[in-house]
Amino acid sequence: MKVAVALSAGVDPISGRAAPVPSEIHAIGLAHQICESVIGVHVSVHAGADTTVLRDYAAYGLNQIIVLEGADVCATLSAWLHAHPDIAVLLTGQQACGGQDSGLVPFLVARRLGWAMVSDVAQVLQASAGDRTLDVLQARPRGVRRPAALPMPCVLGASARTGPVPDAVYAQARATPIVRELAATEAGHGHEAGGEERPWRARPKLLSGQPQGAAPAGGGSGKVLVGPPAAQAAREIVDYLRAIGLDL
Amino acid sequence: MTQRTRRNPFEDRARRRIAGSGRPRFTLRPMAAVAEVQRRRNPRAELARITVEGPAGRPRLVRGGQGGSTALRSPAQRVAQRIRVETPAMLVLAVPDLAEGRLSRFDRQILGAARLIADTAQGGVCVLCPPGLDEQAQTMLGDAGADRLCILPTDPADPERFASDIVAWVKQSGAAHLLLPESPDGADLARRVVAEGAFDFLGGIQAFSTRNVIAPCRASRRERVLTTLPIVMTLEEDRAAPYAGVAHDICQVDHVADTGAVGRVRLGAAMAADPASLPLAEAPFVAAAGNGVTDFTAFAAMVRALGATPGASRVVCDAGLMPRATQVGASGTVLDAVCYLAMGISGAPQHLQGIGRVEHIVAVNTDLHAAMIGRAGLAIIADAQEVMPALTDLLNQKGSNA
Repeated sequence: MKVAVALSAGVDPISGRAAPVPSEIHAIGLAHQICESVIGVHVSVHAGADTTVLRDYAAYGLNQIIVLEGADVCATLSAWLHAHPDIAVLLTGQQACGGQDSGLVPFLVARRLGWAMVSDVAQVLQASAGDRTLDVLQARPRGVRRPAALPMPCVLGASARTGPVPDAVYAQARATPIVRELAATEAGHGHEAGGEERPWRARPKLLSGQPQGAAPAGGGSGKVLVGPPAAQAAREIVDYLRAIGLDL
Repeated sequence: MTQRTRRNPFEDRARRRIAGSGRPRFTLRPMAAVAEVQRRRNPRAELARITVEGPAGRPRLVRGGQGGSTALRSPAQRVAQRIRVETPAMLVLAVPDLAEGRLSRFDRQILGAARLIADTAQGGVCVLCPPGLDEQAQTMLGDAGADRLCILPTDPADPERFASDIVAWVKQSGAAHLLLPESPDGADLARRVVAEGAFDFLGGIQAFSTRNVIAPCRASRRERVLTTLPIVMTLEEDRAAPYAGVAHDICQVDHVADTGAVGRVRLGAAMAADPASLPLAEAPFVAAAGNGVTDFTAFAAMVRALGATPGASRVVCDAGLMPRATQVGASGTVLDAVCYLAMGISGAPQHLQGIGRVEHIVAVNTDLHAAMIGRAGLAIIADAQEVMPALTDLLNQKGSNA
């Protein structure tokens, strides 16, 4: 069974320089959980694109990186996967960082290939090559995990909460071969978002009803008990925690 | 209006005036007080009398004496009056998360945004929801601005099927827009719908109005502005106001027929994580120790009994009494917890930054004037060393009773 990781030319949000996308590093970690042979796939939209970032990705443990040259990411990637039926799982990050950043590409590729798709994957529990099914855990807020089962071949979107990522090894970054391939071009799907692009401006969020500062926020009446006996204090705390819905 | 009588200084002065011609002269003799019955104007009552609630929930001032009676409607009359949109000119669909069948604050914001678009063109808001909503939940959706309901026959454990039902309903109803929250489930569903229906899409909208929508792109260094609203949109939290006007009536409930199709992805029941090993940023309930805690054995026992994730202040971590990974605050972890139990923490500004998003705070501290006490919903002015064993005993005793 072979696994491919879709890589993108990321940009660091602070400095604006080329940098790997964190969730794609987590995707490489997930790929190692499934199997040992991991191929990185990068679609280069602009000919002669800078590939220094690909070396950074390779450091996390990729056997090979294939650079596909095509105009449309989804069409090129799905055409390549269609031509390689031995690849059972495509792993992607959550959202690109430096492009359109819409988070649509994994869903569009899955749709084109007719593969199943699960996003926010935190852990791969079991990959059985026999009946070609995958059991994964989806990351949900506040540490909640949700199991999901899907058939292979499939697309998995990695969450940024998969736990520790593989170590970046400089020698590995140097050793991984980067191969350029001219992909079979297909017509794009026309998912380019239109509109105007302009420099980003931080916009304040709406005030969310509850004061964030000094006043006690929701639920609490700001009750103060001065010097109660320890037993009474403990009872008050337990009653308060139960009242806000904690299961003690 | 106040019933207090007041002196009229102009009248007092007129009474003191000595009659005669030429220069005005006044007597300085003390004079008997005259009970003055003239009452003061109450500008607030006058304003309340002429204020009428407008159609979109905005107050209007009706001058000329017609507004008075309508402003003082009884609450019962107000409940009876709900806006009915029988034949909407266009439809805006909204898919709230409806976690545990409840409409969260985020869901209300999505409905508020949908209402805003619908109101520009006498349109209606249709909420797509799974079956099993009771009467009360329907009224709640009406209060939040929904005009119609569409009950999808979908098992929530089948996201592919849910998405294809939504696509079918968007096409069937000819809706102009579909709004979803950019929550984990909403974001996933929106992208499935866009991939299947090949709709225009803008995700993670940070500035929403009926004229344009703006979302970040290129690593949040640039932003994309769309002046014609795309069909499918996902909004981030706290980017649109919830609907606050007169409640709407649910005029129509559509039931989509069950086709029996089954998707390939099966989702299981969500599992809460082990609190002791949970990363602090993800933990729902954190109990933290500060400089006021000296007995860390008792603290650890209390954390275990509570089922909380342990945290600590900077001082405690600097002293090596707790690992650095447990530090809460500006240079440690910013929490996303529901509840925070602060033991012996006074609340330095850098620490309060770390708990800015926490809703419920319980503080145990010896200093009544500590900043943490002001921030807490329940504050106990006592020594943490005495409260911690009492709390552990109480929880263990209850655990053995249950």
